[in-house]
Amino acid sequence: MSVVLKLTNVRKYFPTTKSFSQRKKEYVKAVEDVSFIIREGETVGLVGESGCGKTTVGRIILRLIAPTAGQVFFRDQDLFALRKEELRKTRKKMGVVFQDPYSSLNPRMSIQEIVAEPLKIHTNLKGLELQERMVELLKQVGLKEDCLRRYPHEFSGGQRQRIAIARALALNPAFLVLDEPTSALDVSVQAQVLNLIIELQKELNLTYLFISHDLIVVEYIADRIMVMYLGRLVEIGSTDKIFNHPIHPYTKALTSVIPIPDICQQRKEIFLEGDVPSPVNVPSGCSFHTRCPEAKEEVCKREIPILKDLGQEHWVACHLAKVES
Amino acid sequence: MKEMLLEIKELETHFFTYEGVVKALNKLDLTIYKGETLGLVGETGCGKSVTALSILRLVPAPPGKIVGGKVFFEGENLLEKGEKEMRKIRGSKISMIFQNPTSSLNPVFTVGNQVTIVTRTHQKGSKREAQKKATEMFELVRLPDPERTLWKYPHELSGGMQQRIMIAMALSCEPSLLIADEPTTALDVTIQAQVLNLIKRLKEETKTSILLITHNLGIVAKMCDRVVVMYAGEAVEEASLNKIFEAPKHPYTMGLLGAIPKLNQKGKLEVIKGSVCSLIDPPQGCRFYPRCSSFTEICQKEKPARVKIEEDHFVSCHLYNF
Repeated sequence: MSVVLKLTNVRKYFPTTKSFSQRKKEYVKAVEDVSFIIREGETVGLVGESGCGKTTVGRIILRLIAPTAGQVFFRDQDLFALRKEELRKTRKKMGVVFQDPYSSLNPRMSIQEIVAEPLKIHTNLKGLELQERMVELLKQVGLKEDCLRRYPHEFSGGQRQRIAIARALALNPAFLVLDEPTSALDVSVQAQVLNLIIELQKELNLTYLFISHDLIVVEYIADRIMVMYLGRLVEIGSTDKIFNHPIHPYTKALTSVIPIPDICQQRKEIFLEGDVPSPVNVPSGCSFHTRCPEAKEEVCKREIPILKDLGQEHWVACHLAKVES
Repeated sequence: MKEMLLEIKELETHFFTYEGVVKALNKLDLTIYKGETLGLVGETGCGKSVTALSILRLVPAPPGKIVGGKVFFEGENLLEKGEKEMRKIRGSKISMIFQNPTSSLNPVFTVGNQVTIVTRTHQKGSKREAQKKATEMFELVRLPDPERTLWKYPHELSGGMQQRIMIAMALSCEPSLLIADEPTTALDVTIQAQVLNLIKRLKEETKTSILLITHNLGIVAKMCDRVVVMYAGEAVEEASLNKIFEAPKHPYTMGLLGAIPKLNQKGKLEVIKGSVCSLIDPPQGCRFYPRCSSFTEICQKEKPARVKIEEDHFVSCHLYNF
């Protein structure tokens, strides 16, 4: 399977000044040394708690913000080295669906204007052809033609998310970044939208990066999962490995405490002490060592662990993880 | 033999708005027994929070108003009590914690001050005694360095710590009932786990009954003894935890359980067609019938009665009206 997306050593620091004097510049280290690949047809889940950097990674991939260091390759093209016209062409191949269906659609634009916008900018479609394309897109997401004349506020959250998906698919992208697409929706609506997302992937051979803090949803939809903590990737593996055989102590704790809506599948919980440290003051060595139930070695405080391949595409960044022979 | 602590009978709460009367609660029936954790689940707009506010008579009025029903607490109807009597109950006999601790704590007072206000309002004692009690409560909720934390302001503390303070405040007068309205929705998963574990442990220690309001069935599975499922202002099913998950009877409950992804299970998620009815102009009979795949003629005309189908299992559905 060909590689659609590749990140190498991506870093993003946001400058912040603590005092008025601006003498000491501090940085929010949102993303630190993130590298991964996504292959065609996959759904890769990017999970972590708030502040871990997952949304920032999503924004960098879409070239909405520039990284402080590192590179992003979309089908072998260095995204941040592209010039205006080349970038425009590449942008057609990527789509995005955001979390909030209430703020991601312009309230002053009709659905027709919203869905037509990418088509008008990037294609020569006009008149009847344009209309047909829009109707087709709406049909794909389960909405009727008469929606075109209406405005976002006339639709429910679930319907608006469908409109956002239709807009994201307008230019036949190969790759979609879905940033918490169902987190703002009720359970029964979430099911409809998730089913749609899965169906569309099969129909249109799409590749997804699914960013979410809701681990149950990610477990359901993703083939592989990447776990982030305080700006770094701590573990990457298949969904089965991550949920049923996690190795990194953070992943172990995280997967042990997710509320599972099934009384037969309750797990033994691992509770982490304290709170997540501030990304302005990242702990030395392994950033997780301050809360890690297994951190005992001096090395955990001193050295930053690197992602190691433990075999079968299971990567862990932990000094205590043993490499399977 | 279970002892009843709170009994809600045919509660009706309406909101009078420009667009019409929102019938938020439509003859709701609900019972909480002593020593149990009752989960109140449902999706947005089903009336879970309004139920909590109605119990404590905190429904904003206007535009809200409790227009009918009874709420028996320890044998007395709360809806017949005056405001002065209710103030003695709120915070001491029935306490509540809310979803967002940041907006529930006053930013201009120290957290110690906010906790001592509760004890000094409801119990006799000096300022020093109240502070001692506050420190004890902070220890109970496992706040680091309790004595120093008394002097901190809310913004100096993390979300998880703020929620612990809310819990400390709520339990400081040893209430018989704690209402927790989505207490961990605003918190990260690992912090949520800490707070839920704390609530569970405290419940065992203090024997407080808990009304846990949530839309997350995973939290219900972890925390609750019994569950009430709400839909559009009504209780549609009430049963023990096991029965709700293993043998749900109401079509909505079944649909809800089918719609959520469960671990290690693939396969298409079940969809409940359509969307929630209008609460201003709800259907005449059962409020769920427009979305129900099992509906019959009578569902359109009559609201189904609450029927006991077995021990610890009640349903409001015409399919079970024998």
